Amino acid sequence: MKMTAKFASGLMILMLAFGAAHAADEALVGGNGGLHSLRGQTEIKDTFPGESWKKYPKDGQPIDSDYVYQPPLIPHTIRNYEVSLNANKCLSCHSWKYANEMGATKISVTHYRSPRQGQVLSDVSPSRYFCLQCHVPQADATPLVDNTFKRVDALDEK
Amino acid sequence: MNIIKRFWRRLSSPSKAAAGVVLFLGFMGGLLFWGAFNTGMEATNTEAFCSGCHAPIVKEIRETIHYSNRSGVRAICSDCHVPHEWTDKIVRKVQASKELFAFAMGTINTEEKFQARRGHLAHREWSRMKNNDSKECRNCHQFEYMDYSEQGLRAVKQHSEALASGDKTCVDCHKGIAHKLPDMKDVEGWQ
Amino acid sequence: MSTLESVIWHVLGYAAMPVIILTGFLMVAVVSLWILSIGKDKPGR
Repeated sequence: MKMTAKFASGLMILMLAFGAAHAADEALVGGNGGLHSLRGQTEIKDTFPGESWKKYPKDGQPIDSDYVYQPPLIPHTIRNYEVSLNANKCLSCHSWKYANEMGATKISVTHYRSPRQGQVLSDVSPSRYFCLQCHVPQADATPLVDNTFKRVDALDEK
Repeated sequence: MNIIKRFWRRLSSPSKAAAGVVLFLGFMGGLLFWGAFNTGMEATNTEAFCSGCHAPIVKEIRETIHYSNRSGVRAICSDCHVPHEWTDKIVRKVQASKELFAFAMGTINTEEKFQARRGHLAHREWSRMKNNDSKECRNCHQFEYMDYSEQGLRAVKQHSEALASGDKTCVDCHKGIAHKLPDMKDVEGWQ
Repeated sequence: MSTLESVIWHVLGYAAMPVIILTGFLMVAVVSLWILSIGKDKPGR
């Protein structure tokens, strides 16, 4: 083939592109564009070290509610507190029967009402028996995303 | 009968060997016997031995704080269920013949039989601990050793009250600390 | 466990202790005599 200028320039462009592609093999060129998440811009194939364990406070002052009808948060650790058909550890301190003796918050009267008709029952309603479906303890984890939530004025302490 | 007579005659006649030899044999024999006896007895205190019949309940302790915790101190079966003093231990081991009998009869050899009997077994252990004032708990824990500045608020309140009044023992409140609970109906303090 | 059952187990348990000691002595005696009979001290002088 005759080495015309057109041919030579075409060849050079090809070689350049090839070289560039080779050199940038490790970069995002031709890749998946990475992943933008709470961790920042990362590659899908990278693994990151795990977060450190979060701790639950052994005990603490009661935590104020953020909204009316919020199931109050649990200010103490609940490790191994059994809530099963056989036993309910929460109720052994927080039921109306034992709360005074144990110095614990009584469960709300709503827990003694049947779920639909609201009839008053003589003991904790089975629909409220499994405390942890609504109530949770708080660990020392900082929120991942900032927010501007503000309590209603009635609950907001100055 | 004859062999007993011969044995007795042998025992009651003097030995041709030196007194030192006889004494040394006696001493070493006694030492080895005592060591072997107690080693054998301690082997019946291991988790592996208890699991042979009580595997489901040994499995339940694995998630609890007495098994795996911050400081890495573990309590195994015998720490709580077998007295530590030798005399009390022997009484308990003789009593264990009842458990051998239950093993032979297969009283809890299936999951269903075990679940049916759990309440009875649990109550037996609780009343035993109540009667001996939670002696096994006190093998490791004592009110006097407690650092109340390290405990949570509820613990401080409850422990100092129980200590003062003296009418509650560890097991009155700390049921279910090591194994899952049986049906707690009609147990004081539970609903 | 009833008081009676507790008493029974304690009696049996405490009775087992001398049994252990005596059985131990007998076992050690048998073995020691056997060791002695290997040497000078043969039975039946």
